[in-house]
Amino acid sequence: METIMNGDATATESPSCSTPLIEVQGYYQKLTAARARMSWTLSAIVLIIYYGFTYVVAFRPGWLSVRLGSYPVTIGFPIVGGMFLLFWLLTAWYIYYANTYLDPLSKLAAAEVAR
Amino acid sequence: MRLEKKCLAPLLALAAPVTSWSMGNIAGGGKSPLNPVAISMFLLFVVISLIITRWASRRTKSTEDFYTAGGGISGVQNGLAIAGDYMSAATLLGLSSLIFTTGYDGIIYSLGFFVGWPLILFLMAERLRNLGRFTFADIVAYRLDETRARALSAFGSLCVISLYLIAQMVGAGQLIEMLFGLDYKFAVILVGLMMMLYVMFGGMMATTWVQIIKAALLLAAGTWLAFLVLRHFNFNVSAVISDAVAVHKAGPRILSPGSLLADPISALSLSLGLMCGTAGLPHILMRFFTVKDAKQARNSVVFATGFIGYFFMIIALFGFAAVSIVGTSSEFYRDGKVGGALIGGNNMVAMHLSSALGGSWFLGFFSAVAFATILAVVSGLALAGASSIAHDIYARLLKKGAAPEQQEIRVLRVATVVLCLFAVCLGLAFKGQNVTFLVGLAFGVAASSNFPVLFLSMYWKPLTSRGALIGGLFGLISAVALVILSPSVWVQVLGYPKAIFPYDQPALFSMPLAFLVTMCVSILDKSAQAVAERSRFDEQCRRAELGESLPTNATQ
Repeated sequence: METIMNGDATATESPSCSTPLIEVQGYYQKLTAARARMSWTLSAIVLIIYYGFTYVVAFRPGWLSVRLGSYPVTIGFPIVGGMFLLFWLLTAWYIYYANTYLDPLSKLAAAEVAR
Repeated sequence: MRLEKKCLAPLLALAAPVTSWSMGNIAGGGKSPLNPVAISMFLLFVVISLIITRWASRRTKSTEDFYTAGGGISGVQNGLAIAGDYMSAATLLGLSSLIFTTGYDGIIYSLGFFVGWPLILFLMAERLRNLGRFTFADIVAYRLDETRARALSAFGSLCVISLYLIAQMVGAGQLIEMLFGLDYKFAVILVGLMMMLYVMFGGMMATTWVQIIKAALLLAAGTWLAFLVLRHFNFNVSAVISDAVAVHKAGPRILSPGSLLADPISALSLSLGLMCGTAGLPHILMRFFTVKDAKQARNSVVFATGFIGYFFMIIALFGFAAVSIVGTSSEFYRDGKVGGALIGGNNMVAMHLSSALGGSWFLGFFSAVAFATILAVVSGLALAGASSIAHDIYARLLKKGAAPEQQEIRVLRVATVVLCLFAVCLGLAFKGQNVTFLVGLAFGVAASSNFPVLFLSMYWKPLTSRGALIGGLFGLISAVALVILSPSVWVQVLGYPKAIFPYDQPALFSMPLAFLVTMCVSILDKSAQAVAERSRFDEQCRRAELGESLPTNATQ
């Protein structure tokens, strides 16, 4: 994972994806920055939660064995179920963001780059 | 009932990584008597799929049609098809049996299968669509040297596809023998023939629709079984769990993480391999080229993620319900000994559950869906492999893009026939062998060779052809070497007493190595070509961000 994270840092921080063409590219730059910010943030959320959970499973399994009051299940069940739901909601959030913000911006940027 | 030892081992291969755990639980397989309901249901599916293939063949004329169904698949359809590719018969059988055996650990596993999808959406889906045309090698070769980059990607693709295809064929033969009572040889040849027909005549259009129908059938059958389970427990989910705890031999321990503790490195390596391997499987990547634009590509992942997540939820329900339903009734155990060996082996948990709750009619339907699932997955693989041969190797590498379209289609058809023959022959040759390691290897190569090169080509400007080639080969060779030295090959196949490399999953070691080598070689590459390749990165970025709305640039 570490290697990917390095790649990630390079990709987000290096200006490579938003190097100006000939003139100042307002929309294009805005688009790449916004998309990179959103996709890397969401990826980081997924990875941190998932590997955080993996850490707990491997080294602190007792935390997941706590019983939920009178229910027959342990707290581990709603946690995993919650992760399935959360990760899916994050994908839905990305779509919403892309449809409402990135796509209109992308049209402007395409016109700008084509110019 | 004829019992065959070791019959189940290859079936487990379908369940991919789930296997390493369930391996110890295999206890004999078996061949069922001919099941008329299952066979007639299955024949119905065959007839419908052939009608679709005929319909698709009329619409499949150009190379575009063959490789990508003309890009006319919608987001929802593609989402179902992706989910179909991912929800194999084995996922259903392997995961439900794992949860049946280990409880909570099995659920943790299913999360590992799931978590790669959101990442594919955030980081890859749109870029794949915007940069690629027919195969993922198109993307790697976008700014790199065509010969080296494409040769590496085509080689990586074909490795992954061959390994995966053999494992699927062997598993298919065993599963069909068990569910339908058909002969192994007959089953393998039938599967090979069907996939050849789909791909050769219907191309991507037929393959996609077979996949969509199968996914819909699987979801419908699963939902119905989930309903039967809930009705059995008077719609009280707590009762499913408390009954399971009451009768399982591990008792309340099935509600907490258990055996994962024993080996966190393996678990980590597995989850990494699944996550990045999925993003390097050629038949999955190819699905992104079948939609109109980046918007549909990302929509398809959201639908796919939703379907896959839902599927895993109901599988967890099956696993726990089976503990008290299947696990306590002697009719599902060999010689009627409860707690002994399950009839047909441990992977039959979901099948026994469907028979216990839905009777033989529903079991037949469920079996037919499982067969449809296998057919759909192998056709996707065959198409991806044939595309790699026809597009990457023939049209781009040998003919340098100057091959006439009809000629390329002819090569695609010949490649399909060859691949199907290859799959059938090896499927027959590996009969009764433990091919679990082939799946681990396929994912290992995908994660350690295809994925690093693809990912860096999209995101890392300093990447050069030399770096990609050397790093990609390093990843491929190290993944293969580590799997050979691992317990599943060194001990179980080659018979040595102790494995040299202690883990079955290579990804945690081979993937970072591939990244490291690729990056080091690229940085050290000061050739004029390297400079030119880097200078094309900005143009590639614009294409990746803006896609088709951008006028075609002279650089490509």
